[in-house]
Amino acid sequence: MIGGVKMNKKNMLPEGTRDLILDECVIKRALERDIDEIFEKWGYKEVITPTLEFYETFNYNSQTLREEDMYKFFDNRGRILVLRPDMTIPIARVVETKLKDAKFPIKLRYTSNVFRVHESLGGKRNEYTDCGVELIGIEDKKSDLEVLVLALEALKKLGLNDFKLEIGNIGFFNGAFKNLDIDQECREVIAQFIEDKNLKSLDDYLEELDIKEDYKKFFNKLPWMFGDKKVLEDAKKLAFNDEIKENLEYLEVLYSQLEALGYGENVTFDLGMVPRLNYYTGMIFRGYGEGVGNTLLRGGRYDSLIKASNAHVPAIGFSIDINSVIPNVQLNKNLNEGENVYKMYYSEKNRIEAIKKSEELRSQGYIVELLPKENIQEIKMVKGGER
Amino acid sequence: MSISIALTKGRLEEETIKILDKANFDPSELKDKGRKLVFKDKTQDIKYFLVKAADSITYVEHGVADLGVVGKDTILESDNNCYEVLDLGFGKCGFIVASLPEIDIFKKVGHVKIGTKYPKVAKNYFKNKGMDVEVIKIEGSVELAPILGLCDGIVDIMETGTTLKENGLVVLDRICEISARLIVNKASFKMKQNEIWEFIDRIKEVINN
Repeated sequence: MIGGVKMNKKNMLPEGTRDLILDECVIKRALERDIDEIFEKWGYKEVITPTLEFYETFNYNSQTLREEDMYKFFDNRGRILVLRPDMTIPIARVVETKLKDAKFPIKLRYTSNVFRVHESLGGKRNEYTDCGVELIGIEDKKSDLEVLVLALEALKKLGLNDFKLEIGNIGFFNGAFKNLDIDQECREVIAQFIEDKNLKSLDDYLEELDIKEDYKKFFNKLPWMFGDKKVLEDAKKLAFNDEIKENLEYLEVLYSQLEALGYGENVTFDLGMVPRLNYYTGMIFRGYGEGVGNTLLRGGRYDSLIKASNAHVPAIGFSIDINSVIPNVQLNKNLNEGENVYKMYYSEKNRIEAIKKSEELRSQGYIVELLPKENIQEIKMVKGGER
Repeated sequence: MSISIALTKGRLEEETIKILDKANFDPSELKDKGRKLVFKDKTQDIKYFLVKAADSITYVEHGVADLGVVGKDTILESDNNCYEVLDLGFGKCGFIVASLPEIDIFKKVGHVKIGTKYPKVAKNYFKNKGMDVEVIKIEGSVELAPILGLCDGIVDIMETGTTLKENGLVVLDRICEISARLIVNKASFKMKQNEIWEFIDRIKEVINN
């Protein structure tokens, strides 16, 4: 009993979920439509995959997510199912099965709800909508730029005051390990500390490791290597092998191309970006917007996730978390109460006439809501959405 | 662009204000706070607010605050997603495992129960040790639990060790060191890069001297 009103489960939502009503819905749909339209215009084809997948699909070969971060249940044969926690893996599955004979490149887009279990009462969403693309079948130098431009265009479309697309390269971190005899576990610990910019723990941890001072210095500097294109210059001074140098030079090339396209202001770098989703293999990027407290957009290259005819297929993609932008978008009132919205009042005796008349108006593009009213002789029309 | 900072009330409060002072920020409103909860820096575009330790992380994680000052103990116990950029060097203490002298939980055969205010830290520690223990959450005066027989040992923070000694408990292991940390919201760090860099640099200068 709360305040004398008995609350039962019937009226409650599971944690981390929420209803979107009225204006929120209008905004969400408009955002989805706008972004989907950009992807469509670039020639990306839509795919819709099931909300349910086998747990195996997400667990196999890529421990990208912790077991407890997924909603799991059983089917009637006792097999473990999950509510999809991301869309890249289902798309990889589609490409490996349904599209295995299609001609590369394959360009796909989606607008789908994904599910993650977050710590309770943290105020985070457990269900949210991802809009994204995957470009499959061509290698980095021929496709990275296109996907970055798409990401920037999509961010621009959200209508935020300011936004940044931050680019990193996992090859930069991985390249540093090339000649290092360090096991996977240590590597993951170092990755985590760098990703969290946890300087103290990183320093303490490196101190214990038996590696050259040069390497320690490099890893200790990595978390701070973010900002505008100047960081690429600074990083070059620290690069101690060719792989690192090549990765830096590639980012420089990308930047000059993006600058030539007019996106220079919105592009920054973070060389200490080491995402937890371990299927990424090359360039990675994230989008941030003014007034939005979390990462809006995530993406990157994953060249070893999809397999076709026994060979890995290069691929790159990203997704935008639509829900996190909704509170920052001012509703354009015209969307809801435009010139063409009417309410039509009728009484019992002219109901048929009212339906006919309203249908006629709808066919001319008007939005007409029918409302019964007693004691009126004629059908009455009122403009606007408010009652 | 204005930045906002969530400071932890209580134990870390005084030292935080001292550092802010030395770094030429103006925390004067914080010193004479009355019942206010939000404080303005009169010399620059910064807002401070005082919250409980765990809430500081929550505010920063949601980006309501751009930065936060919080103890490593609270960070370890939370499941947060913030940058932890600086060790502020004060509020030093450590996580320890303790028990009554007659029970060595590492050698005990059978079921082991651990009482703690920090279940996540305790679980992680024993997991890394390869031990399967039952963790019981206790809200305060954790030292009491093994004495009364609720559990075999405890995981707790220790500053001087006096309380443990007075209650006849012995430290079996030191899990890790704790101090106050500066945390940053990931998106803020990228959107308000200059402001946050400047703040960090000034604080860094003070703690390095």
